[in-house]
Amino acid sequence: MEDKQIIDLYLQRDDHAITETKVKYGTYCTSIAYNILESIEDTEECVSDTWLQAWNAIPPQLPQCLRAFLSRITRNLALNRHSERSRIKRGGGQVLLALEELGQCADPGPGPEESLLSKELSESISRFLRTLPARERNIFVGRYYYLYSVAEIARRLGLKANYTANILLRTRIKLRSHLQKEGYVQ
Amino acid sequence: MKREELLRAMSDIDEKIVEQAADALAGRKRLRVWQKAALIAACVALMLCAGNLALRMQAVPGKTFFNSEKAPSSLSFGGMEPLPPELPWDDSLSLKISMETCSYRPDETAALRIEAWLKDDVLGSGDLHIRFSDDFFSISYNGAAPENGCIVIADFTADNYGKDTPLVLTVQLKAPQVRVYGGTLGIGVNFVPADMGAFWESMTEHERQNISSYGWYAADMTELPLENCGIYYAIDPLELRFRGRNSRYGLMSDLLSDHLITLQISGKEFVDLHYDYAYRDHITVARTSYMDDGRFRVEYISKNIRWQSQEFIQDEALWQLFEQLEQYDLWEDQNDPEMDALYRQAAEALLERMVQSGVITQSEYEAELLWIRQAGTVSNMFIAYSENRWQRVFSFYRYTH
Repeated sequence: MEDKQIIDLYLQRDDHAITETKVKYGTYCTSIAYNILESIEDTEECVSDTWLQAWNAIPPQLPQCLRAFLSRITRNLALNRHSERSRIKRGGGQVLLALEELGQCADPGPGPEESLLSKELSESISRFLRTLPARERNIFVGRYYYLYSVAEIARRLGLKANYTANILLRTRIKLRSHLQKEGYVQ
Repeated sequence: MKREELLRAMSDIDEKIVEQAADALAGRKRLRVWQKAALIAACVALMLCAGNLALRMQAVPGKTFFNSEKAPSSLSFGGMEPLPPELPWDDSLSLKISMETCSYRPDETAALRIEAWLKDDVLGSGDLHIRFSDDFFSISYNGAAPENGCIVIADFTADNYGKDTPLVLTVQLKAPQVRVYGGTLGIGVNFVPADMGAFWESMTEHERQNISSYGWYAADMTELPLENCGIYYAIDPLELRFRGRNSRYGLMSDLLSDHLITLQISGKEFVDLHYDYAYRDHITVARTSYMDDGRFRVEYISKNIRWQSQEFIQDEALWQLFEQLEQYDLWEDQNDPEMDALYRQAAEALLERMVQSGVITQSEYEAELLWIRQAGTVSNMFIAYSENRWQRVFSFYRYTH
């Protein structure tokens, strides 16, 4: 099914939207989540949450590109879950639980100022990425958006792993310089 | 800004960028009909040309391996397997390959540069000629093949890396064989001693990864004895274990074709090893170490493998110059006149400190100063770097501070 038809299902509040999304993008989102979480159980939960969040988000949102839209949701959910998991591993225990409980009384997401800053940073990164040659850009996005391993990116793009690693190295250096110029890092 | 913020901010990057990357990484970019047709035609041509090349090269083993005005278009394609696998190299080489299908045309300067590298750094004696014309690239060499090594000639441009310019040709001359193949990346001329294999094997994967950061230009040279080797010489006598230090050396490798190795001898002390693979009996190594009082020590190993030591007092004015240079990408900005001027200024200032400190003699200072001024641009300095000790020293000042 075409993306537009799937989005129409969302807009009509037809729950086939989720089924069709799963069929078309299930593997894709699973791959994104698994790259971050490396746990089948967590990945499954994360992907399920993705469908729910997409359902809640459309409407009012109207994604221009459904795949990218879903990938962003999955990625954020997976990063949140990963971060939570890491805190527990570090011995969050009761402290974490208390924080979580209190979190229900607090603003769950970032404040407006933080959101704005984060948005600006994303735009800055996008500007930087647009200046890169396609291959470098794809390697970078593959690593830091999709979180593929270097070896996996190399395999997918038909490159040598070391070459890929070197491209990443150079791109990180350039990104740092870009972020310095734009005042995000010293 | 924290790393986590950066990672999270990636979630909201331009959707088009994410989409393009997804397509590329999925390897299923949709092709239009004419693109498919063109691709099929290209594949057919490639196969025909590959067969053609193999036949020609088998037909003329020996002194002339390939000599055709009508060359394989396949050589302008990337990532090919060597064609053919091996041929003998007695004491001369002549290679002529058409470039009619290549979009890039190296100029005479490029030819001279690669010729100079080979003559001065690798082959030593022997009569070498490399020429480009609108139609072909040719290389001829009369002399003994290097023992225990190989030469890789790759990508004759100094400025096409990262700009998706198709590679022209990669030629690997490995005594006693010659291998010719297209590739997609590669700059520089390597001389790789065969005994590096054992050393490479002794390293951990992590160390190899680090070291290979300095050897990016060899990344696609699948037939090198050591994949991605950025280290060659002067290693056995030192018996040191190598460990990469930080990403700044990635730039270093761009700048000086990997004439820098970083060593970490202990947890705190970094030792930078410079070496000169060009001179078979002349191994020049320098290392720096930071001392508690903020000074750092510069030491050299000359060809008799004897450490010579020289300590430098921190010089704020000089460091300021180096800091300014940090804003440039010495590879990508090498045609920038401002960077050229700054580079010259820093180099001259460094030389001045060196002569004042007795690292170089007055006559060396004058000769090298003259050379810098004659070179004029950073690009020109790169071409002849191997003849100039100051630049090796300069490089590690710049990159270790």
